[in-house]
Amino acid sequence: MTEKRRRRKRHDFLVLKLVLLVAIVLVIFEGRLVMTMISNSSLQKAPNVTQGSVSSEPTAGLDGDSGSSSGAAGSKNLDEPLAGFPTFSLDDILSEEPESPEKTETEPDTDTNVNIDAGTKPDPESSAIVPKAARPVDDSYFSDAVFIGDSRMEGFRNASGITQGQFFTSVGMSLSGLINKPLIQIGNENVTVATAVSGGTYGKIYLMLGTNDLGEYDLNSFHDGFSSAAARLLELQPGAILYVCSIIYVEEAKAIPNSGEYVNNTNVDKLNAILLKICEDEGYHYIDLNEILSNGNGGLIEGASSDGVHVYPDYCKQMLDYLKNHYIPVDDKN
Amino acid sequence: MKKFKTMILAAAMVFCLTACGGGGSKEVSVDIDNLSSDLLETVTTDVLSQTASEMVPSIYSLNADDIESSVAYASSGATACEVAVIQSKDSKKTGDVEKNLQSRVDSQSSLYASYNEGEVAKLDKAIIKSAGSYTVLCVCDDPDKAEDILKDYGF
Repeated sequence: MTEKRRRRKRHDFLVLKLVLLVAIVLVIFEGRLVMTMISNSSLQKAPNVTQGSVSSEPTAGLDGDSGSSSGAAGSKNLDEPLAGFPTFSLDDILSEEPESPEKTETEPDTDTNVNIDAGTKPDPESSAIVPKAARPVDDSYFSDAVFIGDSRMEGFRNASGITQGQFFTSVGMSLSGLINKPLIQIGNENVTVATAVSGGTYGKIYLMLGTNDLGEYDLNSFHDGFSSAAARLLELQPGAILYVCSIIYVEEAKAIPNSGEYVNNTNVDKLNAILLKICEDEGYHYIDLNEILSNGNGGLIEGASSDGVHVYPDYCKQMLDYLKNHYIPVDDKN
Repeated sequence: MKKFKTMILAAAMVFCLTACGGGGSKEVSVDIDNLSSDLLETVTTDVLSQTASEMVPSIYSLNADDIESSVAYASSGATACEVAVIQSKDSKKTGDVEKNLQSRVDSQSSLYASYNEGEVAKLDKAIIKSAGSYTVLCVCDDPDKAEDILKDYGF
């Protein structure tokens, strides 16, 4: 009888040991999963934009960052304002008028009445057009550049072979989209261009917009909208060189059937004339890509594109080469 | 004997629990250049060009430090087609890579819906798969063929 009790006791002890073993295993394995879930959710709350990549590492030590402009894109929490800026919503910066009634250097002249007639073309002699430099730069010139634009800029990123620079692009991006829509994917969420741009420090801004605005018949509205958006971007990145890329010509025979009657070179010329005027008035720098992509008769080189709009990789490479040869030396950016 | 049975039972439970926590990852070794090149055959409506590998983290919102190697082919903007093969340094990160690739597809899908609706169908059939430390994104014209190719590579 005593022997039986002793055996039962030993069995109970074994069962207890077994339960303890299972509990330890559960704590080790499931605990790891719980920790992973917790760390993942906290990382998703603070996405950081870094040069050429989006880092999911938590932000450390940025609170005390004096916002020094190192030239390379730094990493900042998207929810935080830029150092030295008042604490307002960055989306609001683009959508609201400035509080001060006084004009600043970067404010657009919204009173300008744009007088663009059919047949108006950008003046090839304009001083705002970036001339060819004495010697080309290499890709490192773009290490502190942010490229903002539509599918044509996205195609440039994909096919030109460029290795440096931050791209905030989206297919279909138009002027109104630039301001209001969360078009840029950062991590698992989409944010506005302004929010994305505020996540880094950039020395150069390349803007390529307008193709999706070719149907814009209120030219004053395009002028004022573009001026306002450009000025706001410079408020987010004070001191950056702003390059405004010309709208590349289209191959009408392909573009019009694919995209609509308004996607024509007369409209490209009209909007380019406005972009060039803005550059002249505001001291921005106009990159005339049509210098290399024109067929000589005010259209895109025949056969440069499958759909009349998006140019093939060879031409994207030529565009990169053009950018490397057309830049503003840092000392004479204004 | 009973003690032996109990030990066997305990070992079996530990084995089961360990298997649950492991994510079921397979040991796969892939030549990412060959795989991406084979997948390119499934894109017939566009000519994709190879994107500089330095741009891949930015395009797919990935942390460059987590990537061992990558190959991406993308469109010049005419279509939504793209092929990307990403090798993570840690195979446990492939779940995160998949999530970001899915976000990319969702984002592209919503953009193309108002820009070029015909491309949305391709994005709806986008393939995102992982094996070992590799993750693939394939937006193409022939997803069935792409699935067969991936199967051959162990996905």
